[in-house]
Amino acid sequence: MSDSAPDPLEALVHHLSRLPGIGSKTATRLAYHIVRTDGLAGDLSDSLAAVREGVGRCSICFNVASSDPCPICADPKRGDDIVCVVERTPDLQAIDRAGAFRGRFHVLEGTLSPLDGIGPDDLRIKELIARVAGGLDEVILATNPTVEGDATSLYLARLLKPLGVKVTRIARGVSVGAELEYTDASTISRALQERREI
Amino acid sequence: MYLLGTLKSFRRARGPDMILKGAEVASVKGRLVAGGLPRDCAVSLTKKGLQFKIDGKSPRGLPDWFALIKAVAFVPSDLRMVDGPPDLRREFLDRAAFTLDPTFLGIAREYRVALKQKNALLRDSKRMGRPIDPTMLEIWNDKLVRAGAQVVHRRTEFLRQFAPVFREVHKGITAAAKGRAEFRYRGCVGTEALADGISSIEAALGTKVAAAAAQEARRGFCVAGPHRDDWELRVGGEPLRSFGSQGQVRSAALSMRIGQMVLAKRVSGVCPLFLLDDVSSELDPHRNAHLMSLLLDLEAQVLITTTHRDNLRLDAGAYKSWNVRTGTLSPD
Ligand SMILES: [Zn+2]
Repeated sequence: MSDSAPDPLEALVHHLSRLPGIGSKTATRLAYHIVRTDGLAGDLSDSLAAVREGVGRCSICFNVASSDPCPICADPKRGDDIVCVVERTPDLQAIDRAGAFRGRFHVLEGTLSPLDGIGPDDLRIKELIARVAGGLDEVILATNPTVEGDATSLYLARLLKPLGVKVTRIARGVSVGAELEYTDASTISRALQERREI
Repeated sequence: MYLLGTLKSFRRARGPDMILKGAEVASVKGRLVAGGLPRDCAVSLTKKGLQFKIDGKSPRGLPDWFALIKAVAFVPSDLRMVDGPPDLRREFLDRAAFTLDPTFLGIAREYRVALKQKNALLRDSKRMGRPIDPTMLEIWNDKLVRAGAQVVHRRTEFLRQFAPVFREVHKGITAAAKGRAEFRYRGCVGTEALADGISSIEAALGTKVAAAAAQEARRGFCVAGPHRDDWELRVGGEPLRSFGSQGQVRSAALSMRIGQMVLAKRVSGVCPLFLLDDVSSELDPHRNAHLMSLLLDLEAQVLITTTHRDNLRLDAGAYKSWNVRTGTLSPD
């Protein structure tokens, strides 16, 4: 029995429970919902297939996008002299939605975290340095106001400042521990306006 | 109730032991009135850990929980706060400092995270035998020192405010007071810097951490920082942990818990719920009467468990009682 194909429903529950914030109970409920709802399984599998085929990372800023360069890097109306550094794509989206920033972005794909074995080489830091060396006026560090986010910004500041670029950190209007992704637009705009040089 | 108030199980039983054999979950529910509104609190313990809910919803974090549910408990293991290992004393200090200033919990958490991260950095470089990236070490040290200095500052600030309150309570319930009681904070920052305020504490801690660098790299973990600090209670200039009798240790520990309530009431206007686990049998009648009048004056809600009701020295009209027999509660 053990080498036969797994039960499809069980496999679905298993894969759903790999998602963040989804326990096995929720996964089971979701799986049954997908099976019961007309057309849902088909729609989901179509869009998952499309994502698998067509969505990748922008080779300039590492934003998750279906085109390379991503729409933000390709936008001619955006300023080229300021880059805003974020941890992940949802942070980029939150800042972009707030509408207060019209420069370019750089997604690190995480934060420094020795506990998780993540060091400088595991983030898109070399690529950021290359962009700075290419000529930038300012780098805004917009990592989350968590211990790891702060430490990552501190690390980048030590690395970038000797290159002669202005390095700023968004203001702590965003309360400690709160993540950008869940912060409202006006707070994000204020945190950007009140950024300080570090 | 101890579990609801502290999120720790009574007498330091390990979590999973509290779940009945064969059951999936152990849960405790309570209702309390805060700001005139009844609130339902529930804690459930599963094999995965502790879950807590206020009015059926998960609070955003522990600060929300402890802001609503204020309780102080005196349990037998509290005696070890005076004469036991330093981690119990740090725990008392951090919990009590939080009662005084709820933002302390966030600071303490920040310190813990920075400490864990730096420990991981030291451990990995030792294990793999490769030198630590100096910039990495520098940034974690920076986070550690900033948060650590706040921790030290708030702890000593708490002790400064706590000492006079403690003395007041202690005098009342100690049979033979042998001079003035004082708290002394001992650790990574010297007395002068402690008195000088946050920027001096930060500078002193920074120097200590820098000086420990070689030792830390060799041992693979953090040796400098407030996670190893301690404090001691001195009476008449002598540390109580080394010369105090069992009775003195007991009344000092009890005074600390009552002092914690008095201070909380002074700061917030609300007296925490007080849980007292069989104490009266060990105080003499005179001191016991004093203890009860102190609690009555505080207008605190107090829950006492005792095997000898006569020891309470309370008028029959001053309390309600229940009997506990083989795990069931019945009105007296
Ligand atoms: Zn891009």
